[in-house]
Amino acid sequence: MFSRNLSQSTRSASTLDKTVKNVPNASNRKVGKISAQATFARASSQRAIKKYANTLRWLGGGDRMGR
Amino acid sequence: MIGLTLDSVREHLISLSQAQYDEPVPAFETINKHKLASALKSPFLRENPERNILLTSARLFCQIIESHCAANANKRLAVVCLFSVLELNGYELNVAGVRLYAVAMAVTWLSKYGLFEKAIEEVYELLKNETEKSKTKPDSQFLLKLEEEFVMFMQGNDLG
Repeated sequence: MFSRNLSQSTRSASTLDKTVKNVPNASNRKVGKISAQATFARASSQRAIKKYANTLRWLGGGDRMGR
Repeated sequence: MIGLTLDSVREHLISLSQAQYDEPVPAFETINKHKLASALKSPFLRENPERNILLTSARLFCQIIESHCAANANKRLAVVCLFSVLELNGYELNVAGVRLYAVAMAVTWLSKYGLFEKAIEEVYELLKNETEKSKTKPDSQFLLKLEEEFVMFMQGNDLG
């Protein structure tokens, strides 16, 4: 009983593995790799948000500016 | 010239959503990725023999606002993308916050009335006067990676 369950789970894991490998254009994000663009963007957007905090708040509807 | 990919916009949206604004920032999954990809690519596909990054950045800023790829936060996204693309290419944006706000609003109205090229001119003029060469530069190996990913994005049709 135990061995049958084990072989079933092994088989399904390898099938899944094949399926994932065959997906075309699988992005790096999906396999847990962070791209250089994402790394740069993360730091850069923090700097932008800090420098232009008020501008972004006004554009986001704060203080009813431009409404 | 190095541009932005969809991966970088995803990060910009995550950062924006962490800051608290009156109007919420939509999740990356909900935005129109075809429109966004077009807005990110088209400024770099236009004829630009002098490789003028300020003109290309101005076009990118206007395209993001005009394409209206998200339900809201398009102008906020455009501001962050402008800042980021300039940094990526060795420039620093030094415009006053009020002026940047006024220009973002002007781009919205000019595009609405079919004056898109005029909007680009306005932003380009602003960038010519209010940017300077950055003193710090990313590591050259890292820059190569960024460029490589951007070239792959320009050539591919993966919408993440």
